[in-house]
Formats: sequence, structure tokens, C-alpha cells
Amino acid sequence: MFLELDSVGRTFVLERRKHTEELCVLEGISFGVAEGSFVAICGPSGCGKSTLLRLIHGLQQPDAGEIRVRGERVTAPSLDRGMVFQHHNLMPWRTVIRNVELGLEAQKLSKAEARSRAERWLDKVGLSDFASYYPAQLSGGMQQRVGLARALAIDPAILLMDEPFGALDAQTRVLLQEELERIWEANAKTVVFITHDIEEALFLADRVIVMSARPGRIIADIAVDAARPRREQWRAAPEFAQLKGEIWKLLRSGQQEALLEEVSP
Amino acid sequence: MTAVAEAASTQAKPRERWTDNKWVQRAIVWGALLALYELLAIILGDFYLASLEDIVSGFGQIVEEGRIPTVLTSLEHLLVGFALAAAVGIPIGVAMGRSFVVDQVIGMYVRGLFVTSLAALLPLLIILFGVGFRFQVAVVFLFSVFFVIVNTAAGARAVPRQLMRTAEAFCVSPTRRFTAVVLPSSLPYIVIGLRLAVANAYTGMVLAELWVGVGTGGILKNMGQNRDLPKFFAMVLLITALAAFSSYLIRVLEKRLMPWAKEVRAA
Repeated sequence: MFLELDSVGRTFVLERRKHTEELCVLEGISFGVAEGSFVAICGPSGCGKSTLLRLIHGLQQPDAGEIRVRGERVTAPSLDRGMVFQHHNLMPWRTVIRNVELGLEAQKLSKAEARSRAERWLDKVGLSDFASYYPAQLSGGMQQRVGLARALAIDPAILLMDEPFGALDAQTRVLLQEELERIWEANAKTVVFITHDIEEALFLADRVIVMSARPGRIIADIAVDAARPRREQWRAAPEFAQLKGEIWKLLRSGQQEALLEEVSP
Repeated sequence: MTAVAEAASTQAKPRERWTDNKWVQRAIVWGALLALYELLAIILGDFYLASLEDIVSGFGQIVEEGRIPTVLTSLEHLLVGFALAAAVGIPIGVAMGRSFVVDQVIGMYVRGLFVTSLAALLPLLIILFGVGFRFQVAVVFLFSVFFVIVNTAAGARAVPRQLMRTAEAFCVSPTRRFTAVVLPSSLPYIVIGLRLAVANAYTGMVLAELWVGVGTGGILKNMGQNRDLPKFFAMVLLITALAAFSSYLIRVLEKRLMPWAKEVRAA
């Protein structure tokens, strides 16, 4: 397998006033991802999806089990894995193009080469006219596109996306989903995409992994065999609605538990 | 132009009246204040307040008497002390803001001296440095350095964690993270620290000179003792104007260093 997770677990220690509390967010997560496939991980809020993505990236380390990319254990962030965050996390003091160049600075590229690569990716997300703007001058959808260009510019083998469209309005989200599908088809990266939006997962992914609420476990692994390019027809297909209902049923029980727990985090 | 710029320009453009001009507004307020002052000066008489005409002629006298070079020497002390305060204060502040250990070790001294009346230390400083150049510079330094440290530390502490994590995710090395994230993010705080510091540097400069009766402060002391009010007021106004101008220069520097803040405001 290209990317392998082997019974991965992660526990956080919370410092309370008088005692410490252990919070098990992930337990026994095992799955593999084939090269070039698009996997969505779908689960209720607080099920440890984002933590899982950070573990795959190497920003955090698992307490149990291990994660391997091409058979090699993940111990630190690498430019082999590009991350798109839930909030764009662009540097406000850098122009759009300089933000896209962030990851290129650690690679041994000449300035001109880095610039032309950043320009190429900015063009692919349709923002070449905004290269000299500052992030705060862009709309939420544009900021998220810059984040995507920044992650793609380092040419990673795996693209990790942490609810990248979660904070956007519905129309922008759909447009960006279509754009992401187009970019992915043209570049065939391996993608791990975190979302709580079932439709988003079904529209984009080859495979939807459904997680339960805390402690996060895998409760289902559903293949989505729809022809590509999918575009809008797939959203309207009866199979789409059927799969959506199936996943919603799986999530439902966990979601209610999570809602109750959110009152006392 | 682009959609963003268009949206911004169509959004807020109410019809401008001549009273909306900030210089018109200032002229009204300042004019009223000056008239009020002049009235007060006439009522109280020239034993307590100098009238505006007297202050203007007092300024002429200062120039004639050759007081300006003395002021320039004082400014030189100020500049050296302030530059030292910035050069020492910014690194210490950043270290305090980014390192728990440094904050624990030196934080209490900084906070302690920050609230201490530094004027009380003047006799000690005279013992240490005499009454010359080194003393003047030391007082200016002490009066300004804590504002730089405290504000810089607050800025370095407030660096968004997500941005640090983002830099880490894109394999930006720890040293590069420092220049690429920590410094630009703390810059607005550093500039505020410098502006507060420069105002206090002037206080320190005058106070140190008053104490030992030299330089600009010495002149002020003499003028006060001789009840030479027109020249005294002219001198005070000159120093106030210089302090305001210094603060303005730092604001200009701020705009040069942080173009993103300006562009964001414009949008």
C-alpha cells in the first residue's frame, strides 16, 4: 500500500485544575490508501478526524501503532505531503504569490524557478490576477484556493485536506469541489480529504471512510464507484442519494452522542 | 480593476462636505483652543502666562541666543539612548515572548523596573556615570527600554499558533520560522512599543538635564527661575513638537515596514 495506517491511536492529556484527564481521540485506526486515489474521511465533529490528518502529515505523533508512506514510517512533516487547512492559515504579511512560495523556500529551487512554479499553480486555481494582493483583500473562497495552490506547489505525493471548504458558503463550496475534482483529475495525487459533509465526501472521493464519535474508530469503508469526470450529474444520480442515506444512518447514532458531549468539552 | 476593489469603492462614498476635511476640523478645534489660551493669558496677566505674540518673539530670542545647538546636542543623547533601547529591547522582548524560561528568569525584573519610578534612580546613575554624555544616554535608555521590551514580548506571545504550525507543516526551519512568522507578526506591537518609548525618551532626556542643570533641561530650569516665560513656553513647545515629530517618523516607518496593514485598511 502507498499509505498505510496500522492500528493508530492517540490520547490527549487534559490538565484540569486538580487532576489530569485522559481523552482518547483515536483508537485502532487501520486502513490503506492506494496511490492516486481520493479518500474522504467523514465523521461527526470531535471524532478526531483532524488529529488523524495531522498524524498522517507528521505534525503530531501517534501514541499507538504506526503510519507508513511507501513503507517508511512517518515521524515529521515532509514536503512529500501537502496540507490544506480548515482556516486558510495564510501569512497576512505576504502577498498571495509569496504565500504560495512558502513551501518552495525549503526546497532547493532557484528564486526564478520557485516564482514560476508558484505562478503556474496560482493560474491553475484561477488567481493569477491576484498575485500581488494580500490575503485579507480576498474573499474566503479565494483564500482557500491560495491555500490549495500553496499545498500543490510543493508537488506532494499526498495531498491532505482538513475540511478545507467547511467555512465557506454553500455555492462557493460546490464550485470549489468541482474545481478540486478537475485539478485532481489532471494531476492524480493521492488525496486524503477530511469532511463532515456527506455530500462533499461522496462527490469527491473514490472511497468514504466513516468514523464514529469519540473515541474515533472506523465504522465503515464505502467504495464510491461512479465514473469520472463526475460533475453535477453524479450529485443528481439515484446511487448518490442511496449512498448518502446509508452513510447518514451510520453517522446518526454517533452524531447525537457528540452533540450531547459538546456541551461539556 | 478587480471585483474586490470595485466592491470597496462602491460601498462607502457618501457625498463629502467641506467640514469633513480633517484640516478644516483641526483648524476649528486648534483655533478655538488658541483663542481660549490667549483669553486666559490676558485675564491672568504675563506674570503667569505668556501671550501668543510673546511666545513667538520668545522663539526668535531663543534662536538668536544660540540655544538651538544645545537642543541638538540633547537630541543626540536622545537618539543614542533610544537606539540602544531598541537594539536591546527588541531582542529581549522577543526572547521573553517566545521562551517560557527567559520569561521566568528576567520577566520579573523587567516588570518590576517597568513600574518603578525611574526618576528615583537618578542619583544612583550619577554615581555610576557622572553627569555627562553617558549619564544622559543611560537615563534616556532606561526611560524607553521597558516600553520596547514589554510591548515586543506581548507581540511575540501573540503570534498565532496556527501560523507557526503552518510554517512547520511546510517544512520552514525553526530559524526561518523566526524571521518568516514571529517577527512580521510581532511588528505592530514592536512599533507601538517604539512610539511609547520615544515619548518617554523625551521625558527622560529633559528630566536628566533638569536634574544636573545642563543642556535643554538646564536652559528650561534657568528660564523658569528667571521667570522668562515667553522663552520658557517657546522652548517647551519646541520640545513637544520634536517629540510629536519623532512619533510621526515612527508611524511613517511603520507604514513602510507593514504595507499589508495599509492595503487591508484601504480594501
